[in-house]
Amino acid sequence: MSLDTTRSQVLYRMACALAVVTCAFSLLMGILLVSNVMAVRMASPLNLPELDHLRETIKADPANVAVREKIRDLDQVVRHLYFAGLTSRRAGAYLLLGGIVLSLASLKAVALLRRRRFDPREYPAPPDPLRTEFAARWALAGSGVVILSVAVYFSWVGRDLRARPEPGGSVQVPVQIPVVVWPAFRGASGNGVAASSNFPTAWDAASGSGIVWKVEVPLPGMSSPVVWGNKVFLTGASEEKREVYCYDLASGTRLWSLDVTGKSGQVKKAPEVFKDTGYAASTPVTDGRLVCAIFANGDVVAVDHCSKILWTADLGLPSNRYGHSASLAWYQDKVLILYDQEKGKGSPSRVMALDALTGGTTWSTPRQVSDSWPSPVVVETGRGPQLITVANDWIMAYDPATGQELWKVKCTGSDVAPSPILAGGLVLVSITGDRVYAIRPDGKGDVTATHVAWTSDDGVADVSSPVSNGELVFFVNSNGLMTCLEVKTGRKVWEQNLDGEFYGSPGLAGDKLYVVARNGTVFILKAGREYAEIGQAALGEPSDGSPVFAGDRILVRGLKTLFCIGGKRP
Amino acid sequence: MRRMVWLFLLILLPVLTARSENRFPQPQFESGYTMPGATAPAPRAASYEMLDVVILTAALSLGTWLILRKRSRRGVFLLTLFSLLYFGFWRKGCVCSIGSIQNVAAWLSGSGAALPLGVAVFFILPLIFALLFGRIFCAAVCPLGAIQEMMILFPIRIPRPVSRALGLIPVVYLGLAILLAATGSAFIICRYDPFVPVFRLSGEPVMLLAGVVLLLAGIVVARPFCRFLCPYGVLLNWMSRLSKWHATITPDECVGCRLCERACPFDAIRLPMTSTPAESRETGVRRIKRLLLLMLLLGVVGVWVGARADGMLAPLNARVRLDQVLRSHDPVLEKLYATELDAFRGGTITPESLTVEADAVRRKFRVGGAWLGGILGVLFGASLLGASIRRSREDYEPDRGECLSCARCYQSCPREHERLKQ
Repeated sequence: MSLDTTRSQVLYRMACALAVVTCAFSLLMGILLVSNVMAVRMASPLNLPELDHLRETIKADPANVAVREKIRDLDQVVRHLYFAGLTSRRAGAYLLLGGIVLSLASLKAVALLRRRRFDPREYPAPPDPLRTEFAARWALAGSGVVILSVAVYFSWVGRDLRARPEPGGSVQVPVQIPVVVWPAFRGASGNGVAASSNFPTAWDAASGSGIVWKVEVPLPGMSSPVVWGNKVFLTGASEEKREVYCYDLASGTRLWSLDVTGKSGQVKKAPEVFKDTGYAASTPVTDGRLVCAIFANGDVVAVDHCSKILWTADLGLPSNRYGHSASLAWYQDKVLILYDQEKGKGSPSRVMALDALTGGTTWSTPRQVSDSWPSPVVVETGRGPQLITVANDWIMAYDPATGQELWKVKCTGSDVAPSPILAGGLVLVSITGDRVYAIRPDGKGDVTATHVAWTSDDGVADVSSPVSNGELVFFVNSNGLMTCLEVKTGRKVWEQNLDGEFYGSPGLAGDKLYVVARNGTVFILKAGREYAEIGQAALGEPSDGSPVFAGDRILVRGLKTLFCIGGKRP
Repeated sequence: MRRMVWLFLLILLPVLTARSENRFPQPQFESGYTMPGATAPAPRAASYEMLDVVILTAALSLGTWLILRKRSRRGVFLLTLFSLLYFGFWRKGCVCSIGSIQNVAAWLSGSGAALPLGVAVFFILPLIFALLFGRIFCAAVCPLGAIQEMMILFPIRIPRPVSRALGLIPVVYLGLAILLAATGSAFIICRYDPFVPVFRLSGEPVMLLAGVVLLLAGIVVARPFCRFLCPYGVLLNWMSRLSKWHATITPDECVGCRLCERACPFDAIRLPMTSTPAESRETGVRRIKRLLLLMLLLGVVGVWVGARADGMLAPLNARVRLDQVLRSHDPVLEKLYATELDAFRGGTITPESLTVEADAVRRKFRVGGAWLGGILGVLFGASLLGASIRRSREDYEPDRGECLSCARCYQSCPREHERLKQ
């Protein structure tokens, strides 16, 4: 087709006219649509001044039915208008699309009708290939330089981003953010020592002075809280029920509570336990991803930090005269469990590792010991990590990766309960009814005759575990006799009777000892070569808890209440 | 200054990605009416995914037949229209071969990302067709190409040097898209697809505007996205260069009439080159040697620069960004990222593990950036080299890499008209 015929000219004019009309229509629809989009995006339908005014009026006069009806009517109108706007936008989009399709068709017709056949004789001569290549190279080089410059510039301005930024300083180097972590019984090392020393020395639960928060724990338990970041985990259990709790460290708000009763899939009768042990004596363990808890009936449960059960395990009903009380330990994605049983009853004693992610048994090592109550502790020695366990007859160390027995020391305890610690390169254990043992952890096999550095008849505690600053070690027995020994030699440094009974293990923060008496009095003592009392503070209710040092706060579990003491923020 | 730059970047990111959600409280009914709960659309049935694969295969096969055997421009146009309606407006531009690059990159990176069978087919099939028959996918199957195809009204010619220079952009875009996908940071091809908002008649105003601008530009500059932006086009270009049975302008012999010279709106027809160049062979060889050395040098420079680009690129990753914000303690940033921070603090990941993850991502960016920089440097050098190597041609021929196989040139060829008459 060409323009040299009248018919073509008429068609061409019609196509032009249609193109103008459809383009104008599309433009108009486009403008309307954009204004509609802007209006709907900027609209805040329920924040009309008139509506606000009516809301104020109804607040002042709640019984005014007329105003209430007016608010409802207005609310309905603005909602209707808003959704009508959305509907009209959709319709407008379709109209615009239709307009564009018609515009394109008419413009295409215009283009076709005005097209004329080219005469090759009118074509310019092909460009010189050399000149074209030359220009292409320079154009490429130019764009390459632009791209390279942008990349170099970004590399230069981004070099500070490569080091993680810290506030304020112009020199930004990677630093560690201090995070509150107390992941297991008596902390990450199981020795009850705090990472810092800025903890309060005075508070009064009765008046609330120095108490950041306190919350009643639904179910009882002797277990201590564990902390990761801003979350505090705790267990509680009765004969019928077992629960895991998560609290906000900042406010004490209970973030969740999880009933794990029967989650292991086994319905078991409740074991007989001593009332001072209870059904939730074992402290749980956490690694920042999950929290794992064990209860008196042998149920183990792993829960993520959002209360989702990841796995459960049933270790079988334990045969334990006072009730199972050994807390859990953690080593490289393994939950370590000491599960000693009364000899001749039930399954044999064993120590085992469960895969933290699946709950499957990684290793299990039988033990020729009777039921025990101390918690196992993973310590880092010069010969690598060791899992230290204590029973009436033996102090035994295992490889926490494989469960292989490393060394053992014969002892003659009865109803032994204190957990071991590592201090000054020695494993220190108070064996109830026997002595205090200090063992060099670099032996193999039975090292009773070769690796016991010293023993002491002083300081033998029956329930609570010792605490040490590396130079001195402190013990307190249930009658309140507090003893300080020299770590290196075992020589007694001082001895003092405290007024009270003590089941909870003492904690050490800097040079201050925190010792919780069963009546709820917390003794704050100087951890030095001479006995010195810094002060006493009251929880206001009985407690067998051990202090947990979290940030600049102390958490202590009372008989019914979880206390958070001191500090303004976690 | 530099601190300001990264602050600006971190502030800019949420603004760019923010979605204006028009939400306000639900009405409070006193009539006992219960508001229905939120519902989520059910995932698309797997059978539909297979249907897409079948239609893609059929469209590519039909396109090949129309272009190579039937040599029908009208048929190609109708297939293009179908692809626009089905893959564009009906399937809303998803799944698409262009975006599938990122799925493949994420899958290959070993991050655990899955690669659905349908997506894999959408990635590989057009490349296989390009390797055998040229860019059939671009000609009539790609919805992004199809919508631009409809806009070509008054095409003008882009000078060859300019189009060569602009041709670097999609290569860089492809590299960045692969790097960001492989590091689990972003699918930028999908996020910044200018035509998907048009297909969906909804989307980010900025991207909608970009789409409209590209379409309007397409009235005079034919298929600007395909030629100067499309990352998948880079791969198709490379494959098509090796194609065994590529479209030819003339069905049999070229008579050198020059009628096809202006037929191609994409400037993909190469003129015959038989004359001896006006420079000595030694000069040309010397230049090529210099350019070969430059190519190696550019590769080294690219590695050096790329390995340092993590500072700017890594914050595109959500974990790195959150790590930056957490560590900045900047109240402005904390306000901007309040939702992300709340979600993080309410979750189970600790700041340390976040930092560990963020550092791992930074490491990936350093390694990946070095690779990307090196490859881009070498490719840039190769482009310079390509602009210096002359290939003799007897006839008018389509550039196998850049030809979109649209079949327009058939209509201008007198031999083609002769064939049709017969």
